[in-house]
Amino acid sequence: MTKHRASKKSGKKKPISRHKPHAKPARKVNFLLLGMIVCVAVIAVVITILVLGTDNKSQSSKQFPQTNAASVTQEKSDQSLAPVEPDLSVEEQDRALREEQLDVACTLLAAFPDDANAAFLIGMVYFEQGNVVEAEKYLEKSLKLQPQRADACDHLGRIALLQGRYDKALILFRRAIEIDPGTPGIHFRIAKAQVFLGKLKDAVSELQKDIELFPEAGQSYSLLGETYLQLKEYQKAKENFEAAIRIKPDYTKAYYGLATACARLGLKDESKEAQQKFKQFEAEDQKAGRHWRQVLEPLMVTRRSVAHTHTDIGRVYLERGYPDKATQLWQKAAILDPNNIDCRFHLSALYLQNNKPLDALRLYEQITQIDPENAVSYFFIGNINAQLNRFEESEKAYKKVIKVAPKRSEGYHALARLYLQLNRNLPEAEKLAARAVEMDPNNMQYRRTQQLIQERK
Amino acid sequence: MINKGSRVFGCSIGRLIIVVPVLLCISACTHADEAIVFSDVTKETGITFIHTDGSSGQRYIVESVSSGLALFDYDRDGDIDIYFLNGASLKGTKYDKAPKNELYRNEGGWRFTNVTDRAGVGDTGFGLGVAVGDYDNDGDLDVYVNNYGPNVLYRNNGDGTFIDVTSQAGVANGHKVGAAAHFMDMDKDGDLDLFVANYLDFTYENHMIRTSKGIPKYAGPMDFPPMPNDLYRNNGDGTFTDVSVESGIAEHKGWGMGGVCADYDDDGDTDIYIANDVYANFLFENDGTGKFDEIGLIAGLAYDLHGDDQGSMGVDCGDYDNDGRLDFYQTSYAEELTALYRNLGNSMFEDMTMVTGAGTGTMEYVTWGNSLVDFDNDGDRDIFVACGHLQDNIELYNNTTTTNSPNILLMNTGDGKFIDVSDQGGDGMKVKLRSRAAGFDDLDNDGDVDVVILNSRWGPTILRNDSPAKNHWLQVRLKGVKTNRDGIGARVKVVSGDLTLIDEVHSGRGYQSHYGMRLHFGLGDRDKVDRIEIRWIGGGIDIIENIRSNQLVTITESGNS
Repeated sequence: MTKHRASKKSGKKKPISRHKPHAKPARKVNFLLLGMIVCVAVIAVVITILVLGTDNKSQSSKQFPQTNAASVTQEKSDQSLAPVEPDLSVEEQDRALREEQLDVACTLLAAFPDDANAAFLIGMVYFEQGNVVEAEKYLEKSLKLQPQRADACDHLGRIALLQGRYDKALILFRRAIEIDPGTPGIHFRIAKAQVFLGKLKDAVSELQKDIELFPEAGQSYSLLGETYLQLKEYQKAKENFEAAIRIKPDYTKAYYGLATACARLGLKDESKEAQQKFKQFEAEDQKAGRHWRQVLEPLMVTRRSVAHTHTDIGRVYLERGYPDKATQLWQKAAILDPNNIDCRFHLSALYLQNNKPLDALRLYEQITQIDPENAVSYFFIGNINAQLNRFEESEKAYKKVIKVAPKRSEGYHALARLYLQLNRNLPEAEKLAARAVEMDPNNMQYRRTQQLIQERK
Repeated sequence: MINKGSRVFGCSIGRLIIVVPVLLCISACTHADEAIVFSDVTKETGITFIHTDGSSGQRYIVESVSSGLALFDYDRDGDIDIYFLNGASLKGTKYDKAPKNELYRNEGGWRFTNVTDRAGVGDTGFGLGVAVGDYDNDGDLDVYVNNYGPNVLYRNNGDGTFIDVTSQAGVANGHKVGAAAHFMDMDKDGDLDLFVANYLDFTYENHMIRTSKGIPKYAGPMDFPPMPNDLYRNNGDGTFTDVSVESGIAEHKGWGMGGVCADYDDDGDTDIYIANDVYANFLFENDGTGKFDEIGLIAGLAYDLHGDDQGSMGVDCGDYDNDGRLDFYQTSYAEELTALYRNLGNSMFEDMTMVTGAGTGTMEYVTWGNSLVDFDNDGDRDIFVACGHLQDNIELYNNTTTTNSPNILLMNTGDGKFIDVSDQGGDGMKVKLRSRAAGFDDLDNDGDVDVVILNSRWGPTILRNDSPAKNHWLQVRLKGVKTNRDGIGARVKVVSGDLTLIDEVHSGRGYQSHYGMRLHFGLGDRDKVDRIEIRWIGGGIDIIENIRSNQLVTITESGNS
């Protein structure tokens, strides 16, 4: 089975995904995630360069069509959570933000009524606001405008699943996977719909496919265990719950399944042991849940959601050639959600394009405060500082890249190139370049740097 | 033009023209015969009860979960009467006339008379749960009301009136947020003890409102501390003793909602199943003397198949697959399925919801009152689920569901599966309200089970079972002599040809309600019962043979063991 996950290239506009991981402070580096972040950043920069470069829109952007655009505030460098409208109560602020979120999405669609991304995003806004009737309408519209949208099919399927329309959900998920076999989590959701429909053997086969593609998918093992439980194949159920636990040793529900499977197999001691583990983790989950309820600020949830929408909508504006509009939205997103990394990446890219390296640098530094393990930001910090002749800072930043992402080649090469540029530490530079080449032997730029260093020596 | 010589599957087309409509007709008739049909007869009943939840916009959590109802024959005249619980004024609400519980006497012919004042059962407390049982063994049914605030025990005087004996009996149970209540003979001593479930520790001081997307909503159960349940032992002299601690019940704090007391392991004593809201359900296993161990997790009833603690609401039991064991069916919050737990017979249960289709149609709704009842008398138990959202403004921030919801009717196909027949269930299934409690009994004594539903902030819904009466049935009423007078906890086995059915008499079941003391058995096309076996709780076994179908039989405990 192939592990190919890339979207089928249709040559059409890139669909905007709403499911990027939200950064958390002090997060441990996940290399897969890091790779994704690097890709997102690179794509953002490339898009920016392509769009702005080819149309020369960095100098002057188009005049925006007349719409009811939401008011935009300048992005602030401090990360305090100032109320959007301090005179309003928390609930009023919440409602105002939700209205703004919808207004911004509606404005986008009014400006570009044939844009599938715009229709998709307004659908997602409605979905997040709990209005699945309108969400369905707009997701279907986006699908009509761009029939090969796996994400729209996927979300329509999720809505159907939520409403207990399992047959419909299954059809939509099947369509999504047909369009894009790499749609994240799609095999799992197909299996879920099948389980609800009582098509247990089909679900087993779907989950096995998912596990083959993503061997670390703990939830798929767990659902497979549940499915085998219902098929009364208890040994297989046990094995799958055990696999889920191997992947995630504190997987509470997998312990419940394991206890059940063992009980059915007559393995009393094992069942009891799994029950004890389940109780222990369940108690911890309950405690965490209580804590979460105590500290939960609904307004913060809304601010994050609105910031997310603004970020995505900004991307559409940029693609459509309205960088000013995009900038305004990303600035607002940065104010609304001090932990939103995406909008800061986009803004930084634009600032760089507009020859505002200090503004870009400030944002990359904010990103490293939000996520101290964010290698991409350190990389850009290094680049910008190098451009500004702040070589010490640049060196420090590249070293940080190597520290937080030792398995990525970019840091080694950047530092090697810096030493080459400065004509110092050349033996070290040679080692660094060699490491980069070793990690990415096909990268001709790395080989060129290595060659230049060797010549310089 | 039809060529008479044409043949399709070996049949001439000319013949098909005749045969096909006949087959279609037969198919349609068969389908009609198999239907479960409910007619909404609320208007003709004369019932004027309007439920009040005490709401004033403050969104106290107790508003959202009221109330239960009871179906029982309070005057022993042979038909089932209806007792509706009601909410009451809460801080911020004021009524010209205090809302109270209402009792409606069944006059026959689907007419009911409000006899609340005459009977003296118009409690003005904030009613949540109710149980009925003859706690003093004097031959008439008494009523226990579990309130937010002090509870009430009404002793039946036997003349159509009741007297509040709460203080004498010692069962006011402080000032708690109540939930289900159950009479049960926990120690098999012949009198009924009392289990009182509690929801959570709510006070005006710890009251809170949550918001979603800036819209205010009721807080959830986990926003308040849990409470242990209470157990009272009947002293046999009209008083009760709180034995919550020594019985082992008080050890376990939860967020109790509905419950049912049933001998799940068929060992001759009554166990207790309490559904907890967003917490592991409790199964209190009785050692036969009134000491209980909580074994919900071990038994597989605490969590659903996924290991999730559901927003459990009501629970009922019945043998859905006719394997001689009591299974449990439990309702839950929206975006969860209800749960059908099949009894495996070794003190373990398995969640069969998805395999059987017993959760079909429930995902969208908050589900409350429920029962496993054979509505079409075909020999297997169907499912009725009362629905209605807890949040009264849910559409403002989540329209995957609705505040007012249709109820759900699932027909047992006899092969271990259920199919959703709500849409074909007659005008009674088209009602969309905020339902809470539901009760099930034969209100017109015509041999099928009707439905009463309490709707939050609205009048009730009364559904007459108008399913085609082609099948046979038997109803059994028990009269204890040495054991409690209504056979609460007794197990009845009915054998009719190849069909063996079981049931038990329960006090308090479903969503904080009481119903079904006359056991109802659908027999399909079997026109006689070969044998009825009764195992009295704490007593002996009685066997009756050769009973004709389509009748209510009253069986009095013989005293022979």
